[in-house]
Amino acid sequence: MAMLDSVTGAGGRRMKLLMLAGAAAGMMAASAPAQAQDDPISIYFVGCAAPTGFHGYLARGSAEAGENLGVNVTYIYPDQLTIPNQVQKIEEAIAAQADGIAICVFTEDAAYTDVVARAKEAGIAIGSAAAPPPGTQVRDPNDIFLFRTGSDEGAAGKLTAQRLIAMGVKGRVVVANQQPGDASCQLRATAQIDELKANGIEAEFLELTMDPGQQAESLFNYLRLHPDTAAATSTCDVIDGFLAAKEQSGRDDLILTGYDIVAQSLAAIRDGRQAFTIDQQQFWRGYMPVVLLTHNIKYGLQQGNYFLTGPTIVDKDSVEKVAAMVEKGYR
Amino acid sequence: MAQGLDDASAGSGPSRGAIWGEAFRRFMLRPESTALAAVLILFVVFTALSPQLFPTKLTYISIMAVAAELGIASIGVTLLMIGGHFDLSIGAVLGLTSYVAVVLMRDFGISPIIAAPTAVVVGAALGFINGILVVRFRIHSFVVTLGTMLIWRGVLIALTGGFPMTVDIPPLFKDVMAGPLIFGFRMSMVWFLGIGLVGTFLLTRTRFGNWVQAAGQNPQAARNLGVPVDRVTVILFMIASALAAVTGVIQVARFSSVDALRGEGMELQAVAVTVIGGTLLSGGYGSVIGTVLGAITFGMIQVGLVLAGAPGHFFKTLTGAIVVGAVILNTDVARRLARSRPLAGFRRNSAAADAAILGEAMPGRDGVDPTTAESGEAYREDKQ
Repeated sequence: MAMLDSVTGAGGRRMKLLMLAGAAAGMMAASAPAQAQDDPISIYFVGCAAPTGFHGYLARGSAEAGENLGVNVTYIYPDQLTIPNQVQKIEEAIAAQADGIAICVFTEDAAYTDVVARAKEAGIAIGSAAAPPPGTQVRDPNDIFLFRTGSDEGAAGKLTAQRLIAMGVKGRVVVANQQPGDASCQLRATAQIDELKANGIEAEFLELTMDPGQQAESLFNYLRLHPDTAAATSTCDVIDGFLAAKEQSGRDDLILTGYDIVAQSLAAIRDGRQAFTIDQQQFWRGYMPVVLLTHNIKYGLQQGNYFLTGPTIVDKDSVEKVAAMVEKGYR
Repeated sequence: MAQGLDDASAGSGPSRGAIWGEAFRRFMLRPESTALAAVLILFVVFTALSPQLFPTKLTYISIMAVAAELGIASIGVTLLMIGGHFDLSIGAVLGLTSYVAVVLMRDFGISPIIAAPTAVVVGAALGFINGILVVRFRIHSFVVTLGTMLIWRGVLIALTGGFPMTVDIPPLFKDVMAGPLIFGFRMSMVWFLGIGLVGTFLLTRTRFGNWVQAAGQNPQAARNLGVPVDRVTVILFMIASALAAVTGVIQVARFSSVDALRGEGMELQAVAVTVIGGTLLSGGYGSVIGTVLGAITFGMIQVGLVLAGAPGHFFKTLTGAIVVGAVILNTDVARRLARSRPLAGFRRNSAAADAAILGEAMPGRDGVDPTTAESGEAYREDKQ
């Protein structure tokens, strides 16, 4: 500005205009990583599944972040969660010329390396709406993703086991997965079983279906086969079948634990049918990627630490605190 | 058999063994026979694997609970498949109509006595849409219902926002729909068997049943014979979706909830149950009783694998393998039997054989006795 003030006369005015234009161009260049247009930022959230149950929280989080930040968020998802199907969805987001893409990563990075590279070549910011590898917190400078935002699933399984041990569980623990093939659920199950076994508690995996009736009957019969079962864990958020099996078997002493808090879990924790649930605050898994992408696109900001959204435990002591937010679909 | 043939050549009636053999052969030709065989085989296998727990009342209750909920929806699929069509949307219909029932009860305070039938009517309406799309645009039902499956599921996701919904269910309604009232067996079993009986009657004892089979075997020929194939098709889609809704209502009553994924995957389980039950994918041939047995087979697999202590990671694999085995048993045995010659020299579709079998099974009934000269005459006539 001081330089501008010192320029006078006609030639000076011309010079002033040139300098203003140059300054404007310079400012535009300086904001190169930022949005170079007036169009709203377009972010695609490539989910793992339809926005139902657990994934409904992610979708809601991303939508609300979009509203708060004034960016357009589109939630898309594969009909069946397979690597090719999800990569196809990412390619669709690239083709739609998204400014940023958040992916509900469900498998190893190698599956995404190519498509992430293509997104970067197209100038698209791309991050992971899933936890970093277990035990890591500081962002790896060579990470293919700009950021990672999620709950440490291995830690979640371990936390469940540790809480059960703290509750004095003796006997067998059955860890069931209604969504075989879902890496998150499987990691939780494996980590829990490993931790329990490491502490001398017998633990077993049980594969179930999503149908609550079939879940109930399978678990009921498992309890008949193994009457020493002291606790059962649902590694997915669907808990109906577990509650029915507990009632059907008359095993009031059976400790039920689950993941995520939905209306059924809330009621069951309140009245004591379910001991606790692991909350990974998945609303943040939807919300934070949109914030991180937007700020990266607008300001060039980048994550230093991975953002862990969980795990945390919700039990009878804490359930009322989160109840209102649960009913509104935020937790 | 040789004896029977010799006797026949000698002019006397066939031997008792030949008649029983023919009776057995004829029974095995029925679509549901191999499903019954599958039930028996699995019963023996799981009893051997879990002798203490499997052959017990609690197990039967569990099997019937699984079979009932899946079986009711499968009966609709069976009728539709016999009529020559598929319905991939029944799982989504189940979820959407469950949602309707929950919302009517929870948000509008409507009695379940009204809400439940309303949900079934909504299911029938969704089936009507499927049927109309199929007959109006002549698009294969597989494609139409694949599309409507996605639509209904999408609508359900949008309406629920993706979140489970709970509802307080009056205990009486819960008991009537799914309560363990029949010596511990759930009421859903009663609905299942009742619907199975109605379905069997509809298929085998009514003109509509004939139309269904005719339409499934050769729709053009059926049309030429005056069968209202399009109307039959639409009605079948309505029945399939309405029965999916009945399953939905039962699950709402039992679990006091609905979630956006309710019913997902059930469409394929229903197809598996139907095929295990002896119904042909190509249409025109099948049995509701077979589907009832198929559903029991499926329930037996689900419960039996747990009680047998099968490795937890292989449930789906083992279930699939057993289903494939059951279908192979069904189709392969059926094919071989269809090629088999009637025993004791009877002709196919022989009235004399019917009389002989009936007389052997119930001697003295209707005065039919294969050893009398009369039946021997009939037998000889039959052979000519």
